[in-house]
Amino acid sequence: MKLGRYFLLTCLFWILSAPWWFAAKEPQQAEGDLPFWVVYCLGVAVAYAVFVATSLRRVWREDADS
Amino acid sequence: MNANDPLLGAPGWSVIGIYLIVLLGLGFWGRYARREDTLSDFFLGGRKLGMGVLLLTLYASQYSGNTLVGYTGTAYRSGFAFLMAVPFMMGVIGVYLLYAPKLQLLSKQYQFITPADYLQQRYQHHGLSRLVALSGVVALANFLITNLKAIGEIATQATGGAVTPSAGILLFAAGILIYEMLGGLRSVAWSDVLQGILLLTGCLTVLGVTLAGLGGISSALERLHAVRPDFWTAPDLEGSVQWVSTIVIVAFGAAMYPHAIQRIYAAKNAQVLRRSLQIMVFMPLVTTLVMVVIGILGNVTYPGLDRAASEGVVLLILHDFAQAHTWGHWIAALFVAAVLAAIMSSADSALLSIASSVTKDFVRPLTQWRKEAHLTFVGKGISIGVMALCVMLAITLPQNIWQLIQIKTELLAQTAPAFICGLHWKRLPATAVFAGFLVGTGITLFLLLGNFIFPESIQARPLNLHAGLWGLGCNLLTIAISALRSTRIQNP
Repeated sequence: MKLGRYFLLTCLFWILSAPWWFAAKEPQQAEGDLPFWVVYCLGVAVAYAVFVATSLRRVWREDADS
Repeated sequence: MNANDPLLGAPGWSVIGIYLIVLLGLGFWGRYARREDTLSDFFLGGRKLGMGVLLLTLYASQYSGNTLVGYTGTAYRSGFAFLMAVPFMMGVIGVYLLYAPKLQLLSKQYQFITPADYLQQRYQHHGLSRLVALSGVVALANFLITNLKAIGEIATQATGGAVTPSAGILLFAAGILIYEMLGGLRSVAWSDVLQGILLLTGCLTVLGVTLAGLGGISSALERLHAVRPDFWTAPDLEGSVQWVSTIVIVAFGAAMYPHAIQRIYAAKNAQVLRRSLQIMVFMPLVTTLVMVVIGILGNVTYPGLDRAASEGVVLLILHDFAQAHTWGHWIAALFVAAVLAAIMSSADSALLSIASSVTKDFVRPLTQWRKEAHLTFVGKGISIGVMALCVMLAITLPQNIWQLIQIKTELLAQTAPAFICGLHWKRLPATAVFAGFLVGTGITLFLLLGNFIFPESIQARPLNLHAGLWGLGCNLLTIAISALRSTRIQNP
């Protein structure tokens, strides 16, 4: 059960990691700043890494025993 | 930088020399630590890899020379759009959780050596297990040839042409073969510890050198904006589709590398494996991201490089740094050692995995040899033969074949349903998985080979989705339809 939910959330993270929302927008940042879409993509990547690391702890035993 | 200027001075040669001597020492240490003359001891290190060794062998074998050289070149040309490399490397670890917990447990129970051992135990279908094993061998041979070719090019660039690509390939191939044959996975894993540390140190050092040369992050971004304002624009919708497609195909393909699966078997216990993966998922932030940033910032100092020249952008940065600082040659030597480490750690793992698969999945069923010591001896002989063949191909293959052989990840992704569905779908019949694998591989090859032969009429990525992803979708659909049909036949 937990593994099914993990798989669905993984797919969601993969889809959200792409900068869909910024596709048609002109960049607004000043020269010395990172583009906001880059900050967004890195933020989702870090959130995904935290999600996998915590899932490894929570899902592993239940899955191995099932 | 003049192409004939050597990057490595006398300090560089001494670092590389010490590195090679230490690798040979680790080979002898692995030989000395051998407990028994069995396949499990030689190919899986006696299934006793502890936390530190397992983590660093997973790390060093997952990141090849492509991360340090290829990714920087792609990032130089694509800009921030290549940040997709960070989630796809994390995705590989994400996919492990879909199969590693059960597979690790079963590998202890049934003493699996190769990935095909699990498939044979699960499905009792020789055709399926041998075809998947063959697919793994082809993908790994391809991986080995690519890494050998990269090592030859690095040797030539670092020495300003004093060492030819062929000589570089022969020298390092011989080194890999010697320490691998001495101690099998134990030597490979211990050398991976050294190589993993070098890889991480090399990445972070070059980032420091690059940022220092550009006056810090803010200054670097301002200067980058001046030369490449186009990098500030986000990818369009097609680019985002390709982004997700790349993550899916790399995550499923790279997680199915036979040498990665064998590290799951080689872990001392489940806790050690789980903790190693928990750390591994963060490693793209200090490896892939770092190399992507270095590649992007290369545009500031070296604007306008073509495709081939951009692949060497890190070496350009290091060369200038070595010229400008008295201790710069030491940093350059450290990075060259890190690149060699990344390449050698991937190549040795691929070679060992090929040898184990050929020995266990193909030679053993065809012969009467059952004594483990005989098979281990055969495995070493196969290592020599495979390495000789791959060295010959790396030296002689023409460049235009390259596009064709870089399809390993998309092919390997077709083996994912056999492992993942097999572990979680208890009544899944072998015929359904076999049919799915054939359909998925067939569609992937049709699109990729078709595009290679008829680029005008067949697209390799219809709708911006990778050929392997179309194959994987059809693979899963075939499995579902075949499984439902077989259930209806059994329960009319």
